[in-house]
Amino acid sequence: MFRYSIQRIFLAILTTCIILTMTFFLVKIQPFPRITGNTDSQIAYYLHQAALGYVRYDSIPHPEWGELLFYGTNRTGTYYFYQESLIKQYGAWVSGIFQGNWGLSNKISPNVDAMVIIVGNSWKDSRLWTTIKINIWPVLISVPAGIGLGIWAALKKNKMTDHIISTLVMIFISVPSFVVINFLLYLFSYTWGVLPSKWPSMTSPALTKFLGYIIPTMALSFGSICGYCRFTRAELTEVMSSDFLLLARTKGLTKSQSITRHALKNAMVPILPSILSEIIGLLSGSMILEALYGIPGVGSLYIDSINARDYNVLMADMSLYTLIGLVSGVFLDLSYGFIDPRIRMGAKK
Amino acid sequence: MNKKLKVASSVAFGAIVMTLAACGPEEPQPGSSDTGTGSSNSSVVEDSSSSSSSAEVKLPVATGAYQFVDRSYEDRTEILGKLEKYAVDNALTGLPLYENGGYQIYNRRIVKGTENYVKNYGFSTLRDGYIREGMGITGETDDRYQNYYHNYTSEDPASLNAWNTDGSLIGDFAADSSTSYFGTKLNAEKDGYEWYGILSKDDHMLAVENGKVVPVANSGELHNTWRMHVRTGEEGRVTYRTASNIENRKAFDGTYVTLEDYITTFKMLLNGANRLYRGTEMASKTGKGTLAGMANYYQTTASLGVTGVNESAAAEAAFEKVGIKSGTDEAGDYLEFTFTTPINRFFAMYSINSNLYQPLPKAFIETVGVANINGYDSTKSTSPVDNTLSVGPYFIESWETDVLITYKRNDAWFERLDNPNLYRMGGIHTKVLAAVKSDENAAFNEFLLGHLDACSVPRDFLNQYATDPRTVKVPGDSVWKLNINSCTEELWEQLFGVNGTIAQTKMSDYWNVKPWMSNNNFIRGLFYSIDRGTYAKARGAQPSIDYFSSAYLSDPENGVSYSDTQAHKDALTDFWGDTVDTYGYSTALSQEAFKAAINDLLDEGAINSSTKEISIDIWWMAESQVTVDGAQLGGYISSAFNAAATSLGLPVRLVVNNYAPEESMDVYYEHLMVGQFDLGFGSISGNPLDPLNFMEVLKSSNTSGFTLNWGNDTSVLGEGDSSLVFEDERWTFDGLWDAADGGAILGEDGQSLEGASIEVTTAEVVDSTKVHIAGKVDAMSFDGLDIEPVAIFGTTNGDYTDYFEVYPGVGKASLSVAGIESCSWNDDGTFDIVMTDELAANAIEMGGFPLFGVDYDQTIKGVYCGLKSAYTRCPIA
Repeated sequence: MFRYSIQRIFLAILTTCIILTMTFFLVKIQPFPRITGNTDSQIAYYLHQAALGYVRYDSIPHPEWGELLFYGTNRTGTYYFYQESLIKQYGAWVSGIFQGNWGLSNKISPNVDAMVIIVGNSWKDSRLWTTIKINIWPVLISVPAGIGLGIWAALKKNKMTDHIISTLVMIFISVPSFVVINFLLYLFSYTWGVLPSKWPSMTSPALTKFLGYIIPTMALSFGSICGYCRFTRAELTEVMSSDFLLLARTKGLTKSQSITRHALKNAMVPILPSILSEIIGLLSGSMILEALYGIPGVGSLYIDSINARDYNVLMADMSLYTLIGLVSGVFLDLSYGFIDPRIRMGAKK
Repeated sequence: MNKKLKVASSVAFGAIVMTLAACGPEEPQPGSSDTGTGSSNSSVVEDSSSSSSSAEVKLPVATGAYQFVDRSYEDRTEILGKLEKYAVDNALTGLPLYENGGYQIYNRRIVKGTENYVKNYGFSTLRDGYIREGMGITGETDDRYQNYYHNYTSEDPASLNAWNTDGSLIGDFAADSSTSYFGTKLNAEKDGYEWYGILSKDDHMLAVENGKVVPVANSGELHNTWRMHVRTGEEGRVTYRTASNIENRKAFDGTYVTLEDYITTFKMLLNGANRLYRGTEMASKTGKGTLAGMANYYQTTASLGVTGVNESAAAEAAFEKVGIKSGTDEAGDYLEFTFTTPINRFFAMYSINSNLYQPLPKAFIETVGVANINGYDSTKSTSPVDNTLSVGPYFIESWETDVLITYKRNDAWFERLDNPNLYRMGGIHTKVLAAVKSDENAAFNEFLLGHLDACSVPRDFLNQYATDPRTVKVPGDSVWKLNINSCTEELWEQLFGVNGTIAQTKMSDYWNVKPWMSNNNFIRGLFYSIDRGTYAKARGAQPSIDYFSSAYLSDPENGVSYSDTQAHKDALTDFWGDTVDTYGYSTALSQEAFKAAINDLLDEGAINSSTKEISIDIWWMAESQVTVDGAQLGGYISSAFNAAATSLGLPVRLVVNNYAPEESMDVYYEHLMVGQFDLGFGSISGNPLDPLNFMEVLKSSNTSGFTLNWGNDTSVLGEGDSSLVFEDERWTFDGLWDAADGGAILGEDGQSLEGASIEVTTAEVVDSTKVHIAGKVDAMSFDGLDIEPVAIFGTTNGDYTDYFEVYPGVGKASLSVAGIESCSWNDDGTFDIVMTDELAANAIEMGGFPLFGVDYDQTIKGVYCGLKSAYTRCPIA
C-alpha cells in the first residue's frame, strides 16, 4: 500500500508536469496577439511584451530568430521584434516557479504576481478561498440531501414517492447549470427581491453576506443532489436485491437493521469516490456561476485570463486546477482501500 | 458620470427592443450623378460648391509649400467640408447607420445639474446635481453609501495607473480621482458649457513672447509658448488626499500641492527608464500640440536607466531642453509650455489639459515605487487605495477586486469650500457587474431593483421605458457604421499581403476579395438600400448619414457643432441629394445603382448570365448582432439587389453572410484593420474639439493607425466630379489634410513630400578601426518654404548609448560615446564624417548604422511646422 501510494504520488506529479507543459505550449503556439495602430503605439506595445519576456528585439533584423512580428523606427530607435523562443519562455517560466515567481499579470491585475492573484496576500482575501467557500456548502448540503433522497427513493421503489423523486431528478439533471443560475436569479432576485442579485461586498452587513451564499449554493447543489440521489438509489436497490441481504433478513434482522448495517455500507463503496470527483466537478462548474454572479473566485479568473490572454495568470490557474484534480485522484484511488477492505491497492496477486 | 455613460453605451449598443417599422417614406428625387462614388469619366473637375458650370475647367494642382494652421475656424470649417465631401463621394466614410446615443433612465432620487443635455458635457450630475434621499435598505445595505452615486462597470480595471495603459477603462476610472488644469462647467443659463481653470488659476492660457506675457488679440493668434498660473501651497488650497491606513501614505493626506510637484509628474512620465506607455507615446508625438524636447529627454533618461524621477545632472540637463518650465512672477507660481509649432490659445490649453498631468510629490513616488503607483504591488500587500494620491473633488476610498470600487468626496476640495452646492454627492459607488458582458439586461435589472442610479435602457425594455418620466434621450458622440473594404485583389495584396504595407498576412489567410465590392455602383447601391430610419428607431437610436456625430465642434471655443454648418450640408448634397430627408434610403436609387453594378460585372466577366449567387460577408462585434442586426440589414441589401437582378432577368442573387468574433474588439484588430472583411460594423471616435484632425483616420496610408475603410488611394488626385478643390486648386485628400493639420510640401501630383532627404554615398571601414561616411542632405525649395537642417544623427543600438549628432559647419558634433575624429557639413549639403574609437567599433560590429537620418526645422509661410526627420539605411561596406 505504501509503495503504491508513493507510485501514485509520483505519477501524479509527473502527470501534472506533462499537462502543464502541454498546456504551456498549446497556449503559446497560438498566433501572437498583435495590435494595429501607428508605429509609436506598436513599438510601445511590443516593448511591453518584451518586458514580460514574450518578445525579443534588436535594432537590426535577425532572420534566425524566427517570424518577425513587427519592425519600425521612431524617435526612440529602430526595433525589430520577434517572438521569444518557446523553449526559452518555458525555461524561464519553470525556473521562475522554482523561485516562487509565477510571472506578473499582464492584464487582469497588472504588476501583480500571477499566483498572488489566486492565493492573495492574506488567505481570507484570496480568490481561492472565495471559491472554496462557494463550493464547500453545496458539498455539505448536497451529499446528505442527495444520499437521503436516494435512500428514500430506493426504499419506496416503484411507489409514487420514487416516481416523483426520479422525475424531478431527471428534470434537474438535464437542465444546464447556467440555466438554473439564471432562473434562480430571475426568481429570487429580480422578481421577489429577497436575495442579492450579485455577490455582496465584504463590507456588507452580515445578513446580506449570508443571503449572498444562497443562490450560488442552490445553483451548485441541484445537480449534485440529483446525481447523488440517482446513484444512491441505483446502488441501494441493487444491493437490496442481493442474496446476502436476504440472508440477513432471514437471520432475523429487521428491514431497517439490514439496510443500515449491511446494505448502506455496501452501497457507499462506489458513492464515496464519486463525492470526491464531484468536488472537482464543482470547482470547474462554478466558473459559470462565478462569472454570472460576480464572484471573485478562481473560476471567473480562469475565463478572464483566457479572454485577456494573460498567460501567466492562465498557467497559474491551470496549475492549481491540475493539482487539485490529480491530488483528488490520488486520494480517490487510495480511499478505495480504506472503504472496502477487500481492495488492497498494489497488493500482489 | 459621462464616462460611465460611455461604458454603458458601448456595451449596450445592441441592447434595445424592436419597434414597429415606420411607414415607408415618399420616394425622394434622385439627387446624385450617375456615377456618384469613385472616379468618373467626366472631365469636369470644378468644385460643386462653387457656381455650377457645365464648361470644362482644368484647375491647377496644388504644388508647393502650404499650411493652413493659422486660419480662422471658419476657414478650417470650409476645409473640413471639402475633405468630408471628398470622403462621402468616394465612400471613405463607410456606410453610416446611427449615432451611438440612446435612452438613459435615472433613479428618482437623482437631481441632475441640468435637465437639458449639453453636447460634449452631459447633465453635470456629479458637479451640480445632488441626491434627494438615500437608497433605502433594499437599494443599498451599507449606510455609508446611501448618499453615494451608484453606477456600475462590466470590468474591474485592477489599477488606476493611467500612465501605463493603452486602453480607456483605467483612464476613465483614474479620472474620477484626479483632475486637470482646466475643466468645463455649466454656463449661467445651463444650456451650454464654458471652460474654466481648476488647477490653473487662469481661465485661459497666457501667450508668452521673449519671456513676457503678451496680450492675445484674437482666439486664432498663434504662439509657441503659453503660460498658466497654478494653485500651490496654502494659498492655492489644493491638497492631496488618500484613504490609505499605511502610515507613510497617510503622511501625505492633507498636504498642499507645490510647484515642483507639477513638474515631477512630467519627469516621471517622460523618464524613458520607466517605460510608461503614455510616456512613450508622449515622447514620440509629433504634430500640433507637441511639446519641445520630449523625445530627447526620453532617450537620455532611458539610457541612464534610473527609474522613478531622475534628477541626476544628465537628466536635468536634458529636461532643460523640454518645453515645460516652472517659475514665479507677480501673479504667482506658473507653468510654461513651449510647443514645437505655434498654436492658438484654445489648443494650447487642450494639448496640456489631461488628468495624466496632475501633480505628484516626488517623495510619494519614491515611497510607493513607480512600478506600483496607482495600482497593486506585486505581492498585493498594497492596493490602489494605498498607492494613489488623489487631487480632485473625489478620491479613491475602497477597492474590492471584481466586486466594488468606491470614491469618497474630498470635503477639502477648494471649489466646494467656495460653493457648497458643488459636488454634493457623498461619493461614487461603482459595482463590478461581470454579467453585463453576456447579458445585455443585467445592468437594467440591477437598476429596477434600485441598486443603480442610472442605466441605459436596453432593447428589451425600450417599449416600456422609452416614455418613462425618468428616461432621457441622450445624443451620441460617434456614428456607428458599416465600414467598407472595396479593395481590388491587387490593392489588397499590396496593403495586406505577405509583404503588405499595412499588415502582413500569410497566404493561407488571404481574404477572398469579391470583385463586386470594388464596383462603385455596387457600393452606391448598398448606401441607398438601407432604411436607416426604421433600423435606428428599432434600437432607440438616432439614424444618421453623417460621418461626424453632432458632438463634433468646428468652433470649440464657442460650441458650434460642425453638423450645423453649411460646409457640412454642402458636403452631403451631391451624394445623398434629396435622400437626406429619408436618411439616405431610396429603393429607386438603390435599384438603379445595383442594375448598373450588375451590368458592369457582366462586362468584366465577374459574373455571367447563369451565375446563381454572389455573397458578401459582414463582420459584427457580437453574436447577438448577427442574428438580429445582421438579419435585418442583410435583408435590406439582398432584397434591393435581388429585385434589381430580377428586373434584368438574371438569376443571380446576393447572399449576405454575418459573422462575429469571440471578443468584440477583435472585429477591429482581426478584421477591419487588416482587410479581413467586406463590410464591418464599428466606429472610431476622435477628438470632438478638432474634427479636422480626426479626418486623418480616413487616409489610406493609415498614418493614424485607425483606418477602417479600404480601397481608395487618398494620396492621388481625384478626377472629374470626385476631385477635391480648395481655393481654386486641386488637391489630394492627404495633401489638403496635411496642409491643414501642420503644413505640407506637395509635389506636382499633389502628393506630400519630405522637406529634406539624406543620402549616404560612402560608408566604409578605414584602417580596420575607423569608419568613414560621406553623403549629402538635400532640402526642398518652394516659395514660402524654409528648410533648415539641424543635425545628422545615428546610433548602432536601440539603447541610444552610442547616439551621435553632427551639426552644420566643421567639427561640430556631440555624442554619448567617444569617437568622432572629424566632421564637416557644408552649406551645399554635403557632409563627411570620420568615426573612431567606440563609435566606430560598434558600427563595424553591427555592420552599419540601423538608425541614421537628418533632423530639420520646417517653416512654411512664416509658421514653424516643427522639427522633422528623414531617415536612411547606412550599412557599411
